[in-house]
Amino acid sequence: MSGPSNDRLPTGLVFFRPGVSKARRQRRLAFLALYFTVAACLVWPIYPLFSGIRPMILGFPLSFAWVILALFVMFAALLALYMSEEGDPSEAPDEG
Amino acid sequence: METWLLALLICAGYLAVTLVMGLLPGLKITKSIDGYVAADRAMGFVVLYFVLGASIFSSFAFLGGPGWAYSRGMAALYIIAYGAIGMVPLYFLGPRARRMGARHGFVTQAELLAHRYESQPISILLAVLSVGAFVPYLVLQMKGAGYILSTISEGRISEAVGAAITYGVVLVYVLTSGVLGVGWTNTFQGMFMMVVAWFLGLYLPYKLYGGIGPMMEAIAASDKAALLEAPGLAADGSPWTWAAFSSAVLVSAAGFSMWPHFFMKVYAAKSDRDLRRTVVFYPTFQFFLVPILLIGLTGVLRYPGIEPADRILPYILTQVELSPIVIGLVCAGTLAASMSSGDSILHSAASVAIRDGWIKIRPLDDAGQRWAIRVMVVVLSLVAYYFAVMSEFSLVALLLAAYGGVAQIFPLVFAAFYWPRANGKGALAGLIAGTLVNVFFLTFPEAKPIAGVHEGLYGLAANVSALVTVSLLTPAHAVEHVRSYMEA
Repeated sequence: MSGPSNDRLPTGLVFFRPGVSKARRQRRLAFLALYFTVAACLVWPIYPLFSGIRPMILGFPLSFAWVILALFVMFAALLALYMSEEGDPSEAPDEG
Repeated sequence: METWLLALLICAGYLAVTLVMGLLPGLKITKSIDGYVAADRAMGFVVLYFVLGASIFSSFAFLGGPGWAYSRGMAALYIIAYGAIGMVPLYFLGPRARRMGARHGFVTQAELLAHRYESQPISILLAVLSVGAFVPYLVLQMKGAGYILSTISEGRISEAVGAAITYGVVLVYVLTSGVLGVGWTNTFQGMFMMVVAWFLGLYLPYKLYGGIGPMMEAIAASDKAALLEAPGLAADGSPWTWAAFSSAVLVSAAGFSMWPHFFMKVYAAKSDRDLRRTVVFYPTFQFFLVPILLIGLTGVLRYPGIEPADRILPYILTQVELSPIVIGLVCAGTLAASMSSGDSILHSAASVAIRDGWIKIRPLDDAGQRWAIRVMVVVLSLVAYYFAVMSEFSLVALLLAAYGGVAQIFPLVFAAFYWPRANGKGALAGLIAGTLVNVFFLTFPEAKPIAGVHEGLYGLAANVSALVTVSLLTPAHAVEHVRSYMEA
C-alpha cells in the first residue's frame, strides 16, 4: 500500500498515490469492502437465498426487490463516498 | 386524424428537434481532433450523465429488455445487477485516465493503453476488435429504428426507408458536430427515454391489472410463476442456472465501463469532479430499467405467445387503447433509444478506426485526421446499413462474442494504473489469450469445464494468468514512465 520507492518498481498492487491521507485510504477501503459485499449479494451463493417470490415488497417479488435494493445501496454508498471526499477541505477533490 | 399519421408526425417532430439539437453544438466546438472527438475536454455533469446513460441503453431498452422480462422473467434482472456494480470502477479509474488524457492528448481508450504499455500492436488489435464489435451493434440499432417506423406507419414506410431516415439524421449531426452533437442529442434523447419508460412501466400494470402488486400476484398465482423466481428462465424456457446468471453478471460488470465508446467519454469530461458526480448519479439512470422490465411483465398473462419476444412492447401498444399521441411518443422514445446509442457507437468506431488503426500505419495531421474520421463515419454507416437491410447474416452471435470480448480489456486498464509491474508483452499476451479463450468457448460451449458459465469468465481467467506470468518473466517498463500512471 505504500508509495513507490525512487529507484525500483514495487511488484505488488499499488492502490494509492504517495501522500494520500490515512483517513481517505480508510474511507476508500471501507467503500470497497461494501462494494464487494454488494457484488457478492448479486450472485451465487448469496442471491439464491433471496431469489423467491415471497414476501412481496411494495408489490415486487423478493427476487426483484433484492436487486433494486442493491442498486439503492450502491447509489447511497457512492454518494456518501463522494460527499466525504468532496466535503473534506484538507483534500482537493481532484486527488485520487 | 388517423392514429398512424398522428404518431408518425410526432416521430417526425422528434427527429426534427434532434437534428437541430445535434447541429447547434457544431457552432461551438473548435476545429480540432480534441474538439471533434473529446468535446475540447469541456463536458459538464449534465451532458456527461446523459451521454453515458443514453449511449448504454440502446434500442434494447424498449425492445429487447421488455422481451427478456416477458419470455425469461427474472433472468432480466442480471442487467440491473451488473449495472449496479459495473460503473463503480470508473469512479477510481476514470479521473486517472482523464488526467493522463489531458496530459498526453489521448482521445481513445487504446491510446492510453498503447502509451502505458509502450505497444503499438495493442492499439491496432484494439482498433480491429472495437470496430468488429461496433458494426453489429450499430446494425442492430438501425434495424430497431427501421422496425419501429415500419410498425407505426402500418407498413407504409418500409424498414429500409425507416432506418435510412433515422440514421440519415444521425449521420448529419455526427458529421457536423462530432461528440458534442452526440452529447446534446443524448441529453434530449435520454430525458425522453426516461419519461416514456416510467410512464409506460407504471401505467400499463395499472391499466391492465390495477397496479404492480396485483400484476405480480396474478403472475405468481398462474402457471407462469417460475418467471418471478430468480434466476428466471433460459432462452429455451427451461430454468436458467445460477452459474450462468452469476457469471453473466460478473463478466458484464467487468466489461460495462470498458466499452470503447463509453470509456472514451472520460476524456470529454471537464473535470474529475464532473466525472465522479456522473458515476455517483449513474444509478439514478439505471432505475429506469425497473419500468422497462415491468412493461415486459404486463404482457405475460394478457398477451401470451408473442414471437419473437422483443416485439412485445409494439404488440401491447397495438392492443391497449392509448391515445395516438402517446403511441407516437413511445415510438419516438424507442427511436431516441436507438439513435442515442447508434450515434455514439458510430462516432467512436470511426474515431478509433482512424486514431488507433489507420494513423499508426499512415500518419495524418490534425485536419487530415478529422477529415478521415468523417469519411470513416460515412463508410461505417453504409456498411452497417447494408447489413441492416440487405443481409440476413446473424449478428446476435457476433454481439454476444463482443460482450465477453470487451470484458477482456478490463485487466489491462486496471493493471495500467494499479499494477506497476505490468508490461506491454504481458498486456498483449493477456488480451490475446483472453480473446481467444472467449471465442473458443463461445464456438464450442460443450467444451466448458462448468456448463453454463459465461465464456468471458474463462477468458478473464486466461487473460489475467497470461498478463501476470508474461509480465513477471519479461522486463518492466522504466520506473519514471510507470510512475506517471501510478501517480496520475
